[in-house]
Amino acid sequence: MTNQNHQILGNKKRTSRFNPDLAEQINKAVERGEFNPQHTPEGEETPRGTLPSEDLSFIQDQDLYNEFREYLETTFLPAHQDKLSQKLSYVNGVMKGSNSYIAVAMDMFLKQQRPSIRTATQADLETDLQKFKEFYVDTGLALRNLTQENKQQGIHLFKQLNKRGISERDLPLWINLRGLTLDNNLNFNLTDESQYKIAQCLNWKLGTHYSQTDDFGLPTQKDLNSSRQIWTVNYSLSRAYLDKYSGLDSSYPSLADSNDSGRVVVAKPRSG
Amino acid sequence: MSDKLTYEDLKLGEKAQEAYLRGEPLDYIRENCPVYLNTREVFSGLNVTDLVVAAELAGIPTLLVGDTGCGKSQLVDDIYNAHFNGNISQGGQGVKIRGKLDLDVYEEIYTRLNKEKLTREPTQAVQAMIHYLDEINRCPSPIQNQFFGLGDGYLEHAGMKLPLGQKGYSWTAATANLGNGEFQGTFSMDKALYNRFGVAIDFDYEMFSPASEDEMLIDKLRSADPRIKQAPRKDLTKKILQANAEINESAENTGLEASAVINFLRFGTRNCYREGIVQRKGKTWPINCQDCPNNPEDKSLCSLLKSPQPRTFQATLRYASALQYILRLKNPKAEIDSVDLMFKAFELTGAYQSLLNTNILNSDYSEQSPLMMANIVERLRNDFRQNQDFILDSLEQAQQGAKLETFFQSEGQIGDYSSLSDKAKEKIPEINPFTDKREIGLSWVKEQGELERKIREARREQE
Repeated sequence: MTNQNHQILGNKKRTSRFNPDLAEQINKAVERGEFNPQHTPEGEETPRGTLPSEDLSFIQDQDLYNEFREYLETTFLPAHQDKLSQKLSYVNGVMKGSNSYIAVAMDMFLKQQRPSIRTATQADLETDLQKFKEFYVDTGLALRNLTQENKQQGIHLFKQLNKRGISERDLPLWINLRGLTLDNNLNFNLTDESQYKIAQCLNWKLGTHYSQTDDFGLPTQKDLNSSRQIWTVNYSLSRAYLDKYSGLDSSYPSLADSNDSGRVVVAKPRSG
Repeated sequence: MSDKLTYEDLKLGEKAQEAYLRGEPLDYIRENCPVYLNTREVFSGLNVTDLVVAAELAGIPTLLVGDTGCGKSQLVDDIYNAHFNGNISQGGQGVKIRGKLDLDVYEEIYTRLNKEKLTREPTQAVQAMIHYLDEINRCPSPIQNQFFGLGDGYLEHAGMKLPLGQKGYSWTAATANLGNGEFQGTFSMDKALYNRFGVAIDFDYEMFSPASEDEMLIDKLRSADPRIKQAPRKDLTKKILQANAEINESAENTGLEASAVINFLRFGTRNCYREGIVQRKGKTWPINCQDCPNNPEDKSLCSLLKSPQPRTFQATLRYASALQYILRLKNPKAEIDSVDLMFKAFELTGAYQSLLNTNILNSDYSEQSPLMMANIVERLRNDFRQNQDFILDSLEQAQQGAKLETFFQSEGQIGDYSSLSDKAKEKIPEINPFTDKREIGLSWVKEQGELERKIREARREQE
């Protein structure tokens, strides 16, 4: 690798990933039949079955909304309510507002008090994208590195993942919000139900078009003819959500921002 | 005595702080030390005072904004006395102008009537090295227009441009209370005037306000008199001229990384990326962003910021150079990352340059330009970092006469895709980063590379 420093402004040496001999090395390996494209292990955890779309719904029951607010206010510290209950409203028969914390808290609440329903995953939403046009729905977290924006939360999550065999080389990683829990400091914590996956699409170029998705609801291949796009950025931990244009946005650093277009979607497991 | 400036020379209230801590009596401190103390760290060990002193050394017109009592006037006043030896009529190198309704800087300050010739002729104030405009927005807008020349570094007199200062150096520093009409007797400032001030610092933001410890210490050191205190006079102008020359020199020869950041900011932010269309931002920006499919949630970078004018990125370069200069004075062993340095300089020089999407500035940031600028610059810096290896290695190869525009990735390294065999290309996807089909355009890298190769070729022919 080159290690050039052309700086007059600045004096810190730059370390580049560019290797001028790499092409030649690969050419030789290909000729010898020894070259395998980089191993990208996928699917450390197998997601559970996707739910039928008719069982996906917004929070429309006002009693449920009130119970959830009460849960937030009694479970989490008052200092955190600006990220939780204060982001929510119930208007025209639906709960408005969503962020990474709210989606996880909702899942915690449902698991405890309404175990027949859970928050929807990205894969669930993929079954009826039309239903969520004009809204954004938080479904995951993108963990890309341990050095950039939101690194404290990224490191907190990574330490837990590391114990489960995930190394820094395996990043970027998609983590479903369903199955996580929040602690008193609003750190994200893994549980036995947590689902995550090494997902190279999280490092695709910003705005890459795609159409096909995998069992986590993540893009599998680029498709220039599709209007769907994935939005990426090199933060440590980004929130990830289905945006109002049916794209997958994993480029937003603020885990707490919320507006009236935000919806929490819940899924009812197939009966019987 | 050496002509080389030291950090010790430049210290203001920190001198008083040190004197107090080593037990000097208060009378000694009041008589011998400047007053203004703001040690809040902003970047790489530089504090707020350093940011202003860097602008001073670079000669970049500087606007200090803030509520009454925030210390902005004390800061400039300290520099006026402790670095420039006070007023030019008293042997110093400064001119101080206080904003008022009927101010005429030409009649009152910069020219006088020659009664014999019955003409007006320039005064020695033109040669002052610091031009201090206190409470600039107490002047109505037509009067404020007189300051354009001060911001540009010259005065127009009898059809001629008279350069301000000496040996190519002058520093214009202005203070203003900007409070949405909160302050009676103040007037709004024209955008064109803001544009003259390459560095603007708003002390109402916590990131620039003095640390509580600073305020407590000032209380101990000074009497409860709220008026501006006079710092002891000292003339550092010879050293400042030398520092300025060094800063200008490094700003003209910035190196590959800094010039790449400047082009990223200059050309990348011109990009308007609507679906399937790649074009420059036009007069309809940012209105046309509202229905743009590539602007989900109104947060795409291309919708938030337009390209800086030459005046801004020139100030960015000089300011980055000055920040580095003062950082090295302060800590000769400091490790300085040129990319971080450039983006920080852009953040501080661009906040009030009318670059921001005013709709978002109003709705999401309550008109707080520095906050919006800081957030956008952070995202820009991350975008640059993500593509840094592609950009810098391509330009570095171009300087050596080679073309490197497409890449591939393998096991954490990147290589030249065009050097792969056809057989290898079948197995490895091509990375084509230099496209404008993204929020911040990158096609300029190809153009800069082409230029670098031409320059190299031309030089080789001359040899």
